Amino acid sequence: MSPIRALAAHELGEAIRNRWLLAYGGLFAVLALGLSLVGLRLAGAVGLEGYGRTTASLLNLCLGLVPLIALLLGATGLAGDREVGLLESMLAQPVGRSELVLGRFAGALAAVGLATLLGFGLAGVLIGLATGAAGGGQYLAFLGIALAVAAVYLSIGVAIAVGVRSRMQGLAWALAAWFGSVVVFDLVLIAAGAVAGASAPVLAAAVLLNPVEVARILALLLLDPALEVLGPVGGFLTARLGTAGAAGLLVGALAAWIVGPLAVALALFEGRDPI
Amino acid sequence: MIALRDVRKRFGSVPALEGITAEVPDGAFVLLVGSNGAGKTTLLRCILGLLRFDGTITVGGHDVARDGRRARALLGYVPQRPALPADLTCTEVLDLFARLRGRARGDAAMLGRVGLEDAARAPVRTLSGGMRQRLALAVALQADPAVLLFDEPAASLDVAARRALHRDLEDLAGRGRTVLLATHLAAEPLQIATRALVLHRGRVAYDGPPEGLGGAVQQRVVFSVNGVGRAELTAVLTALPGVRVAQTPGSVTATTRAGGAFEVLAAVAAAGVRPVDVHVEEPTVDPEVLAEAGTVTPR
Repeated sequence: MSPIRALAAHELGEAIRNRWLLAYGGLFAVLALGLSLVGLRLAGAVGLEGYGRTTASLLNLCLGLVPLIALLLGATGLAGDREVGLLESMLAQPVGRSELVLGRFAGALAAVGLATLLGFGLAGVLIGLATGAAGGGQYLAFLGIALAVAAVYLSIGVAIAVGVRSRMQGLAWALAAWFGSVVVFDLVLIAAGAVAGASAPVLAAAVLLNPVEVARILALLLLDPALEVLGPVGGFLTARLGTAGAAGLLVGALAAWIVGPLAVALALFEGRDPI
Repeated sequence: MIALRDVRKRFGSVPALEGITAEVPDGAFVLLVGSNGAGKTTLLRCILGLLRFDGTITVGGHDVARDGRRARALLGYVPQRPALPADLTCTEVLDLFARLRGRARGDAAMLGRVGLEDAARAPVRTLSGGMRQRLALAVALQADPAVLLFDEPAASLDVAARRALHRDLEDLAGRGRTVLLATHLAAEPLQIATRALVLHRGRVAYDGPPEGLGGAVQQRVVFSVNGVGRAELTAVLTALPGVRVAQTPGSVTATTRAGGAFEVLAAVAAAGVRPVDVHVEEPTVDPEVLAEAGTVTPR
C-alpha cells in the first residue's frame, strides 16, 4: 500500500471512528428531507416535494454548511497533528511531505464526500421513492457540485493548516475564510454593483474569486438557466459564452480553486519546517 | 552510518546548532548528551529531515536534504513524548506505521517483544506514558531499521519503566544495532554506550569514548534548608574536595562527581547537620567541567 493510500485510509477511518461523518451525514439527510416537506406544505399540499424545488432549496443550505465543515476539517487536521506531535511521528517515516498532505487531503475529501453523499443521497433516494418525480439528473448534478465545493474548501483548509502554528489559529482562519466567502463576499458584490456601479464583466470576474458564488451560479445554470434566476452575472456569462461555455468556465474555476490552494499548501509544506 | 558535516540550524535569530561535525559508525551505540537547550532534539530532527539545516547529513550514504525518504527508510525514531493516534489500538498503530513503510500490515509479535502483548487491543488513549513509549519502540523496531534514534526516552518514565527501557537498550546494543540516544542524564546509558557526543549550546563539547568524560559526569545533591543550619551545611560541603557549592534562598546544592553523592551525604550526617529535605539527582555530563579540563573532542 502506498503511503498516500495508507494516510487516506487512516483519515477516513478516523472520521468513521469519531462518528462525525455519520453525524454530518445524518444532519444533511434530515435537513434535505425537512426542506422538501416544508416546501410542499407551504405550497398547500401534503407529502414530499420533487427533486427540482428540493434541489433549489438545498442549494443555499449546501453552500453554507459544506464549506464550513470542509474548512474546519482541513484547517484543524494537520494543525492538530502538529500540535500533539503526531505529524513528527509520521514525517519521521519514509514518507514525502507532499505524500502526507495529499494523503490527508484525499482521506478528508473521502470523509466529507461520504457524509455529503450519505446525507443528500439518502434524502434523494427517499424523495425519489416517495414522489417518483423527474429531475434525478439535476439532483445528481447538485451532488457533484456539493462534492466539488467540499474539495475546494478542504483544499483551502489544508493551505490554512500548513500556514498556521496551532489548531486554534487554524480554527480562527477557517471561520474567517467561511465568513468572508459565504457572508461578506455577497455584500461586497452587492455594494460594488449598486453603489459603485460595477459593470457585469467586472462582477463576473469578481464572482470567479469566490467558489461559493461560482458553485451557486453553476448549480442554477444546471437547474434552470433562465436569466431571472441566474442574476446579472450568470446572465452575462450565458449571453457571452452560451450555457455550455458558461458551465465550462465555472467548472474550470472550481477545478482551479481545488488545485490552487492545494498547490500552495504543498509548496509551503515543502519549503518550511513542518513541525 | 550517520555522517554530520558542519550542520547548522537557526530558529529566527537564535542559533540552535553551530557547525556540528561528527560520525556515528555502523553498530555504534552513541550517547548524545547535553543539558536542555543544548541542541539534541534539533540535531535528531535534522537527521530525520524534519527540519531544514545548513551543512550535510548522510544516513547510510543517502543525503538527508536531497534524498530524505531513503535516509528515513534506514531510521527508526522514538520521540520524547510519543504521539500516536489516540483512538487506534496498539495493533492498529503497528499496522498504520507499517503501511507508511509500504508493508501490508504490522508485526504484532513486536508487542510481545516490548511487553505489550496483553494491550494489543487497547486504544492508545488508555495506555500509560511508559506503555506509549514501549509502543513507540515497537513501531520503530518493527521496521527493522539500521539505525535507531531515541530522544530522551526515559524522561517521562517511572523507575520501573526506565529500567525496562534500559534493558531494551542493552538488548539493542547486544544485537549490534546502531543507536543514537539523546539524553541529559548519564547514569545507566553511559555504561552501555560505545561513544559519547556531548553538545553544549549547539556545539560539540566532546566526541569520544564515554570513559574519556572522566570527572565531567557530575551529580547534584540538593539540600532544602530553612535558616537553621544553613551556615554549618555550607561549611561542611565547602570543605569537601571536588565539591562545588551553590546556594539559593531555599536550598544548598553540592555538585560532585558521579557516585560521590554518598560521601557528601555521609559528611553532612557526620557533622550533625539536619536539612529539611535531600534530593540526589541523576548524573549528568557537565560541559563546563569538560571545558575547564580541556577535554574537547579527542576524535
